[in-house]
Amino acid sequence: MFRVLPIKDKELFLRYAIPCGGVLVRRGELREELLRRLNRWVRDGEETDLPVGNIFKVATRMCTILAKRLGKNEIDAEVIRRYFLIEHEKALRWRKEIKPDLNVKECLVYPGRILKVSYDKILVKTPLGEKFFRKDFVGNLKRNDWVSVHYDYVAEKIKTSYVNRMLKRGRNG
Amino acid sequence: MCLALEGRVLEVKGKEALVDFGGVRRKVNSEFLKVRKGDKVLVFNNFVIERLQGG
Repeated sequence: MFRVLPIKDKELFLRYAIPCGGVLVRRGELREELLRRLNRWVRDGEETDLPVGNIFKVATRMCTILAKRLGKNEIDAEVIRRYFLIEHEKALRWRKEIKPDLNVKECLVYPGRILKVSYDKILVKTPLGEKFFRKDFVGNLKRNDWVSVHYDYVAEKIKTSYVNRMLKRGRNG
Repeated sequence: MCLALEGRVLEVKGKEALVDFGGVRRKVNSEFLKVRKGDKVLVFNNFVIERLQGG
């Protein structure tokens, strides 16, 4: 049996995991209503006891493996960022070797620089180009801030150390 | 999450399993979840993370 570790920072985990939710809904692996509740949890700070680990099984299990390898007994912010910002790219390369025909670029989290902040959207320049992203999960962002983006969402403001690592991986990829 | 792949375990040696992904075979890490020959598994970035039903 695979024993998953507890997620210490559930809100941060969800900021990165929720954007994948649309894919899970389309596959029939997640109910749309549940995804909306998760979204409200992060966006509005609504308290809930939803079983995040069971909903996002793959991410939770991989975060557990990373945490154990780092000698941790919980999934903290460092583990969450490492999984979504760094390890995803390795997983993409691994998968492409086995199934090269699949285009899963959108699954990845990218770094981006904010070009413009409007009432409900943020224009971000990422390695994939310029695009408007949802700002449900973030506030107090301004032009030139570095952020991480996943599907249609801005996940969070990130440090330049992560930006450099992510951009470097892209050049080496 | 969409990057995980399903495969079938062909052989197990210690913490390593040989898995068939529809014709492509890879040695993967099974130290976090014990598997047996014939198991249907979900693998992410070379780690077995789940034993699937119907295996």
